[in-house]
Amino acid sequence: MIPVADPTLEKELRRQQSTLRSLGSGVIAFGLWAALKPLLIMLLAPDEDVGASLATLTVPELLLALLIVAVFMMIVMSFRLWLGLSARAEGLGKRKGSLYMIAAYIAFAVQTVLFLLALLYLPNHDFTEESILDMFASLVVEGTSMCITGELAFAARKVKRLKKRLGEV
Amino acid sequence: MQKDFHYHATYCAARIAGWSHGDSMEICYSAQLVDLCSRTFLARVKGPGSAATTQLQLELMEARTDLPGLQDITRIWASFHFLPYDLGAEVRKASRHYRNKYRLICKPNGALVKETVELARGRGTQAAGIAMHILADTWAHSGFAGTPSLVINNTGPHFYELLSDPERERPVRFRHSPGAPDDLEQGIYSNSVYQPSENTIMNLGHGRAGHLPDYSFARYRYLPAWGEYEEILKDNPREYYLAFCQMVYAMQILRGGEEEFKLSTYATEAAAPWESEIRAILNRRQLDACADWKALGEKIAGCELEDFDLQKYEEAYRSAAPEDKDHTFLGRFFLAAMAQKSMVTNRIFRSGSLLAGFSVDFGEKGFRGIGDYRKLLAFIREERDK
Repeated sequence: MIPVADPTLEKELRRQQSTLRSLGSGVIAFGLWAALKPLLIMLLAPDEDVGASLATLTVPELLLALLIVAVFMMIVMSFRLWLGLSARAEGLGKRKGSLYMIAAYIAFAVQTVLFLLALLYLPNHDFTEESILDMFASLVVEGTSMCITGELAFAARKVKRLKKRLGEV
Repeated sequence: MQKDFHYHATYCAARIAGWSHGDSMEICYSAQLVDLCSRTFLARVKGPGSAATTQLQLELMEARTDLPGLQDITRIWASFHFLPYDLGAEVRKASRHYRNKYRLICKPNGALVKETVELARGRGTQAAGIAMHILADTWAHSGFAGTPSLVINNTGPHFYELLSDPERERPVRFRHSPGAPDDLEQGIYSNSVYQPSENTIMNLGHGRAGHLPDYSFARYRYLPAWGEYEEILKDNPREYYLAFCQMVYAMQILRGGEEEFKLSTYATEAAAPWESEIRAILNRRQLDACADWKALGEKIAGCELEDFDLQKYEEAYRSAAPEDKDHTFLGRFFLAAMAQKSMVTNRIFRSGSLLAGFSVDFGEKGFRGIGDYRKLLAFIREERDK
């Protein structure tokens, strides 16, 4: 293909790059939230059943459990940080591979499945007044996170296609 | 634009247009005074506060950004430094509020430029000078609006300076250091701090682009917030020359021609003998071109030119009797400024926007007017009766 110097395409590329920058920041923010949420739940609203189970553990076992949770949180946060920073870098015009885009698609698929499962589980949930609000808030946040990840994947794909059209020899 | 263009270049244009040395000095003095006639200056000379044509940085720091405060800011900046191009512009898929701000974007050769020049006809050198300042600024400040607005005036990291010798491009680096001069070698310029609030003072005019619009040598491309990701290419050397030629044309009209001022008309033939020297000044990379323009002015005039002195006419105004103040140099300047501000505010109001506040024709309605504008009404009546 011959390189295309098309102002319309360039304008669209700038628009999608701007979108990628915003979405990258969003993914990082939601990654921080995903890491903080379990910690906040443990500290502020511990589940009675989980608490009862933890009470049966010895101190070393408890520390190991906390370590596993911490490592898991770090992995989730690091993944989202890498995803968000890669999207921002691409949005700022730097060259980036396709790995982060593929990872975004996979993350979007996983989040969609989990979200749909959560929706399917709703009828079985034991609703109290408090838990309705918690559930609703949780769904909204998780749904938003899912949408942001999906939008990021789509925007990354659009950027790569536009760059290809503008720069291919 | 800066003093080099408003003062010295305006003098050169006035002489080329056929004005005498004395009148040209008054015109260029008035053109430069528009950038200095703040409420602080007016308080010092005990002039009417409504005649303010600018706001100093300290005044802006203290300016309120509630509705009346924003209207006051818009009245000043849209009237004298960012004359709106098209108050009837339509915008796709936009709220009325956004549309009203979009309509304040300044560009050259708008209908209000013609009204500004015609308003100055027959009103002396002070009015001519104010009109020349406004006309010149429509070229330099093109693409920005005289109202604090993030969604109109913001710029982003996509900002590149086009350099020659050799031809190349380099990203502009902005820093927030008002005290430090811009570094032309490294391409580091000061601009206003990014603040996400819509109506903050930081988003007034071309603050987010720093002084680049005011440098005659600057060529750059950037993405304005209103542009829907469309890139704007600003070629200041070319546009400043057009501004100069249009000023010559406008001043030929104001000197006594019967002909009506026409937009997109330039006195290129009159300026032709000086074109190469003018273009050389415009293209020279320097923070201040006063010395070059002054030298050209002295060559055109054949005599030495005095430097701008803000206090030159102050004493005459202060010591004049109240009934004589309006006939002093500053008095006439203040009246011309109020007439200009009144006209622009009225046009903005009639377009359906309250961004510059209400505009009521007190003269028609039979009221005596409010405060300072009483003297403007009296002046207009006096003119009508002559």
